[in-house]
Amino acid sequence: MIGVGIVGLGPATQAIHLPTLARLADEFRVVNVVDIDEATARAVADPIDAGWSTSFGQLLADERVDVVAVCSPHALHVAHVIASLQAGKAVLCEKPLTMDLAGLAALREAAGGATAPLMVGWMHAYDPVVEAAISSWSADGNRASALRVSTVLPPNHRFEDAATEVLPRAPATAGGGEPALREALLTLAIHDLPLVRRLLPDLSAPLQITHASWRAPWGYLVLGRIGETRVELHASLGQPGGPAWTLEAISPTASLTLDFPPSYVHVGSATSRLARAGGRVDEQTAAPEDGYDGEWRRMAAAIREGAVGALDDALLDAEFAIALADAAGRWVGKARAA
Amino acid sequence: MTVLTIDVAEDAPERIRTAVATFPRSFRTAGPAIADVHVIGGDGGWTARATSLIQEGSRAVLVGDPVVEDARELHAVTAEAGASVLLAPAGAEDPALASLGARLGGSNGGLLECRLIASRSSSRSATTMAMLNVLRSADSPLRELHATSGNEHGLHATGRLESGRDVVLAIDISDAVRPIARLRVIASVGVIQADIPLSERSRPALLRENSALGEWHAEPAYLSSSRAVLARLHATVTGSPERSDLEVLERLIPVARELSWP
Repeated sequence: MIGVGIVGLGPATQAIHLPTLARLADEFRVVNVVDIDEATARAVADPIDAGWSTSFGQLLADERVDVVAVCSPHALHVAHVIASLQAGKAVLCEKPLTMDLAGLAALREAAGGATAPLMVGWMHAYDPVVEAAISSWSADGNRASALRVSTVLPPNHRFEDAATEVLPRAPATAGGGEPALREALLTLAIHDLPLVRRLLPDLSAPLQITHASWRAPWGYLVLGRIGETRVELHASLGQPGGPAWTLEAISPTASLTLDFPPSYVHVGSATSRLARAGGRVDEQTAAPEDGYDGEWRRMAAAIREGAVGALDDALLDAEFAIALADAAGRWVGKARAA
Repeated sequence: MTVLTIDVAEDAPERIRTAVATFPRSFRTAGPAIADVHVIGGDGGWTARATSLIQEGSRAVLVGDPVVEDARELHAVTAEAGASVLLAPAGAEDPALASLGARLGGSNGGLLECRLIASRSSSRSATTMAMLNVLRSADSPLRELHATSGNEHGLHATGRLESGRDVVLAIDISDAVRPIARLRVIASVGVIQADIPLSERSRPALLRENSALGEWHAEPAYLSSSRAVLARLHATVTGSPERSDLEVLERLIPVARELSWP
């Protein structure tokens, strides 16, 4: 049985990781949870008979903890991941792993000397239907001429509340203007940038942004090119109506469409449709296990195998995401200055 | 919020067991001897097990995937004890069923088609219960059967619901798709269709209507059937029970026994 410690007990932990780990009770047991708010820590720990505290150091010292789920605020991810690795713990870090290259460099050094595995929880990359679809796309020899990610979602709480009884949350404070486009890409587009990177035919090609804009009230549109592949990222959040989250890859002779359920709900995997010139179409309906199951099962396998360091191109994916977000942010800055 | 202690038996459906974990503010697991409420599997003999639990002090028993069984003794024991028995066939509490019922409430007559696909490993009796429950929730209980025909691959039948609406039923046994109930009503006002998943971790039900006014699609509801029935379990014990599932079962049993296939 693998002991899990969780730092940060917000909606992602309550609605995503705790229900997932309950399904995977044959492999995992949550033994220790930490939050800066003592009442939250106690309220989350009590129903699952886990230890709790407001001290991350206490969690790292708990010998029952084999893997730390880092679900704290983004600004703390680098410190929490490094401390966990140095304590000999495996780490599953929620996205984003880091928001900047300085953090990435520190993580690269820590991961290089780690005695346990480090993974990032980009669940779409661990979705079993997505993995199979991308394998088929690649096996056919397809080279994407266009990649599109479109994310249209109602407010998150609608899905959190369908997944579990989430503790009452503090009301959001009034914002000080629109979030930076860069931050939006590193917190939302980040879900799919690892898949974009896997589908790019030429990873060595330079990135060129041709358009980047913030779309009020909360969304963005980014157009770019990486070699001969056009990339489009679109998001619109907080809209009423059903969710629509899609990744498309187009080549001269094939089209791959991945359709994702919203985050937080546990309604199975993505669906896929791979259409080829000539009319042959392979479709895969949603499987019961989703990317949340996939990432935790991957972690269990990594621990059993004794894997160490960053797994599955985690650091390369993070570097790609930061480069794209930085380039888009610079484009917006130049456009405003012009 | 009142926290109830709950015991989930080994044979309870896994979907309900994992759903309990998503109610940390409503339920706390406890041993069978001291729990407020109990969850059991619905294989043969469930009525006797539920009767024992009620007699030993259980405030409510939730039965997952129940097969058709005479529950008159259980009903009497439950009424005397002031306890409750909730039945949870597959897909029983899908929010789309209530929405479908609301849409159908505005139409009379016509034909309701109910086609259910069940896996090859599923219990036939539990599958029958699931279909009858879907019909009851969507429109009204099945009152009479006119013809049935079946083999090891499934069955079909015609009949009439208590609402007076004619119905054609089909159960198909296949692993080609995940278990699902597909309903369609062709009435004078238009066509209403619903695809209700009968397994957890499935995309939400699809509900749509075509009429002279155009096409309407229901917004997807992400509350799973298992979470919905557990919410009802909590509400039933801590508040006023809205309906007796055993009364519903008694009305379904005669028809359920007619619906059989080799």
